[in-house]
Amino acid sequence: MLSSISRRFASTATSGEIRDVVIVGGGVAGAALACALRRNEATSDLQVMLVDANDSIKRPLKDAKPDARCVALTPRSRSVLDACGPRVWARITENGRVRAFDSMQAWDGVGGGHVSYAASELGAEALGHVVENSLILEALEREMETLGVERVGKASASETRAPRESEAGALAEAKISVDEDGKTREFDVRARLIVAADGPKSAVRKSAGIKIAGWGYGQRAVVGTVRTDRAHSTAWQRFLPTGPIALLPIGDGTYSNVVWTTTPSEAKRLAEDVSDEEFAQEVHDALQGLGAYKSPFQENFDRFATLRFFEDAVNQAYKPLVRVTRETVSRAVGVPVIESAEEDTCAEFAPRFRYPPFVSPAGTDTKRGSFPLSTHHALSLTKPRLALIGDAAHVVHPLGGQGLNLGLRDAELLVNAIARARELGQDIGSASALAPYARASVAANVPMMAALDGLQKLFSAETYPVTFARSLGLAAVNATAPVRRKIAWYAMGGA
Amino acid sequence: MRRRALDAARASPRGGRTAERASSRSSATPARARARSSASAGQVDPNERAKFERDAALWWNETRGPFAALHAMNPTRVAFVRDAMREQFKETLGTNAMRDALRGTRVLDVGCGGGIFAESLARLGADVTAIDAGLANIEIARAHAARDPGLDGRLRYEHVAAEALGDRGETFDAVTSLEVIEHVSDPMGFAKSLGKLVRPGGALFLSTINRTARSFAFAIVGAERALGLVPPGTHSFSKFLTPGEVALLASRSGCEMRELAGMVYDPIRNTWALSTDVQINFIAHCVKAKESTKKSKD
Ligand SMILES: Cc1cc2nc3c(=O)[nH]c(=O)nc-3n(C[C@H](O)[C@H](O)[C@H](O)COP(=O)(O)OP(=O)(O)OC[C@H]3O[C@@H](n4cnc5c(N)ncnc54)[C@H](O)[C@@H]3O)c2cc1C
Repeated sequence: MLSSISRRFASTATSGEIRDVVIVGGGVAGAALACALRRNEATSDLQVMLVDANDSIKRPLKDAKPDARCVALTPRSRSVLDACGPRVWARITENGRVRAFDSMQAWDGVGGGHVSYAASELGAEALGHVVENSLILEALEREMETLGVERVGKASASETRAPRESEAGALAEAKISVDEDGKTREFDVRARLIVAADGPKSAVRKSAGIKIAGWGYGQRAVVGTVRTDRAHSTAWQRFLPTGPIALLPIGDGTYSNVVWTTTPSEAKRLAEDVSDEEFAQEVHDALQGLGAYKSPFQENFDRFATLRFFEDAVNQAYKPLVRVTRETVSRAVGVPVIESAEEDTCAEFAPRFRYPPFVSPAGTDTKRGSFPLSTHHALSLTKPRLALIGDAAHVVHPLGGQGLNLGLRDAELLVNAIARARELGQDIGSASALAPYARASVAANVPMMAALDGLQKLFSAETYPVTFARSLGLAAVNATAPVRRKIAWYAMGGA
Repeated sequence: MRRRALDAARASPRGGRTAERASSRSSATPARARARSSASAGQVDPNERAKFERDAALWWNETRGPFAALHAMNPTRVAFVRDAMREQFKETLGTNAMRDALRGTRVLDVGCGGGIFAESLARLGADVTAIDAGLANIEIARAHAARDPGLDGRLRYEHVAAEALGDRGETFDAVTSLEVIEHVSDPMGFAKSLGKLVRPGGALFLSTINRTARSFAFAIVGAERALGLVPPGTHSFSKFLTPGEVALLASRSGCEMRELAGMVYDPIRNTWALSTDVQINFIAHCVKAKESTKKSKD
C-alpha cells in the first residue's frame, strides 16, 4: 500500500527505539510531568522516558536538619502533586518535616508600611506548605518507579534533533549518554515529544535554538536554615534596599528556611564567610531592623516606630487618601470596590503589624548556598516535537517563592494539552497539539513574572518620595480586605 | 479592522479546506464527470486541480501557509465526528476510552487531502480508508503517515474516486467528506455516491460553507480578495450549500440529517469551536436507514 515515496521516508529514520515522551531533566517539574502523564487516563498508555544527570536520590534522613533548598508550595501545586499519585503527598509529609503556613506578612524595611493576609480570609486552612525540594523529588521518584516510568540516571541528552520543516511529522531524535562506572554508553531514541525540563541553563532549549529574553538583577539569593524562639506558621518577608529577606517555617515550626536576596558580595559573605552563629545573628538583625539593617527613618524612634506611624496615619489623618488609593488599587488588581460600612471602617480592622520571631542558629553544620538571580522567559515554549517546562522555560525572581510552583503548573498544563490532543486524535508532538500548552503557560507565567519584577523594582528604590508612597500604598492595600484576599488568592496559585 | 481580521480568519480555513476538497472532489465525484468531460480521476476541473496540487507540499505546515487554518479547525471537526459516532454507535463504542473512542469502526474519508482529518481518526482507533482524486495529495498523505509508526496498519490511502470505490461494493460504518462538496460540480451525484458507501445504519458526515451574505463577506471578499489569505478562485460562492440543501442531498442519498452544528473561529486564540451559528461553516451528521433496502425516505 505504501507508495515508493513513503517507503523511502519510512526507511530513513530507523535508528533508535521509540518512546512517546522523552523528558530531559528530572527536577521537580520533569518528575511531576512523568508521573502525571502516567496517571492521566488519556495519557496513561504513553511510554515515558526520563533522563537526568543525577542518580535517583536517597531518602533524606529522618532526624537530619531541614535542607536549605526549600520551597513554599501553593495549594494549587499540592493538587498537581496529588494528580501525580495518591501517595505522593503522604510520603512527603510522613516524617513531619513539612510545615503549613497560614499567614503572611510583608513589610517595608525602609519606609515602614506592611501587608498581612491570612488563609482564613479566603476560607482556606493554609496559604501553602514549606517543603524541602529533595523530599518532593524523592516522593516523585518513588512514584515514577511504581508507574513504570523509565528513568535513566547519570545521563544526559547530548543531542536532540527536532524534525526539519520539510519532514513534518518525522519523530524527534535524541542521543543519550549514560555514565556507567566511568564508561560512557550511548544510545539513540526517537520520540513523539521531547520535553526540556533541564533547568535554567537548558541544553535542550539551546540546541533547539530557542532564545530567551530577560535580565539579571545583579543579585544573589542566599539560602540557609535557622531556628526561631517559638514555633510559627507565618511566611515573613522584609524588603531591604538590597533585596528581600524571607523567613519560612519548616518542620515543627521551630526551624525556618531563610531566602535572602542581596548583592553578590554580601551573598558571598553570608553564604561562605560568616559562621552559623553570625549568619543567624544577621538574619535576626535584618528581620528586626537592628544593627546594620536599621531603617534610615528609625534612627530616633523605636524599632517599629515607622510602622506604627503608618498604621496610625492610615487610621486617622490619611484615611481619605487611603480610600482613594484603595479604590485605585482595587481597580488595578481587578476586584470590586465594595462600599459598605465594613469597608468604610476596614482601615481600623486592618491586620496589625506582628513582630517576627527571634532567630538563633540551627546547629553547627547547616549548609548554606547562594544562587544568581535573573528573570527570563523563552521566546517560544514549543516547537514541533518539543516543549519547554519549568525553569527551562522561565525563571522568576524568588521573592514570591513561585518558581517551582510555576514549573508544577507547566507540568499540569502540558499533561492537559497532551490529554486533549489524544482525545482529539492529534499527534502529541505536533504544533497544533502543543499550542494550547504554550498559550496557557504564558497566560499563567507572564503576569506573575511582571508582578514579581515590578515588586523587585519598587522595593529596591530608596528615595524618599518612592518609599513614602510605597508605605502608604502598602498601608492602603493592607486596609482593603478584597485586595488582600486577591493577593492571597494569587499567591496561592489561584487555587 | 478587527472585524476584517475575523472575516478573513473565518474564511481562510476554507482556503485550506478548499484545497482539501478540491483534491477530494477530483477523486471523489463521479457525478461531476458527467457535468464535465473531465479526466478519468473524476469530475474535477483540471485547472482547479493544478491549483491545489501546487499547494500540496505545504499540507503539513501547521502554523504557516495555506493549510494552517485547516489545522486549526481540525480538532473541532474531529470532536464533532467523534462525539456523534460515540452516540450513534454507543452499544459497540460505549466502553472505549475517549482516546480510543473509535476503535472497532471502519471509516472512509473522501477527499482526504494531505490526511489531516484521516490521521486523527486513525489515532482515535478507527480503521481508516482515505481517498483523494489528487495523486500528489495521496503521496503526501502516505509519506506523512509513514513517519509515525504508530499509525501503521490503521490508515490506508488510495488514489481512487468515491464512485469507483462504491462500485466495488464496499461499505463503511461512517463516511466523511469535509469541506469537499462545495468544490464538486455535481453535488447530487457526489452525495449519492457517498450514500452508497455508508452501510445501513451507518453515518455520513458532511461539512461545507453556507451560502449567506456573511459567508460571502468572509470567504470570498475577506479571505480571497481583501486579504489574499487564500488564492482568488479558491471558492465559488454559487457552489456553497445551505444546511437545507445539504439535508436534501443527504436525504436523496438515503441518509437523514440528525445533527447540525456551526463551526466558528476565534481569531484571538486561533481556535475553532462548535456553535449554533451555522451562517458560515457548518458540519452535519446524517444517518442511513437500518434496513439494507434502497433508501425510501425521500
Ligand atoms: C534561592 C532560590 C530559592 C527558591 N525558592 C523558591 C520557592 O520558595 N518557591 C518556589 O516555587 N521556587 C523557588 N525557587 C525556584 C525553584 O527552585 C525552581 O524554579 C525549580 O527548582 C525549577 O525546577 P525544574 O524542575 O524546572 O528545574 P531544576 O530543579 O533546575 O531541575 C533540572 C534538572 O535537570 C537536570 N539536567 C540539567 N541538564 C541536564 C542534561 N543535559 N541532561 C540530563 N539532565 C539534565 C538536572 O540534574 C536537574 O535535576 C527558588 C530558586 C532559588 C535559586
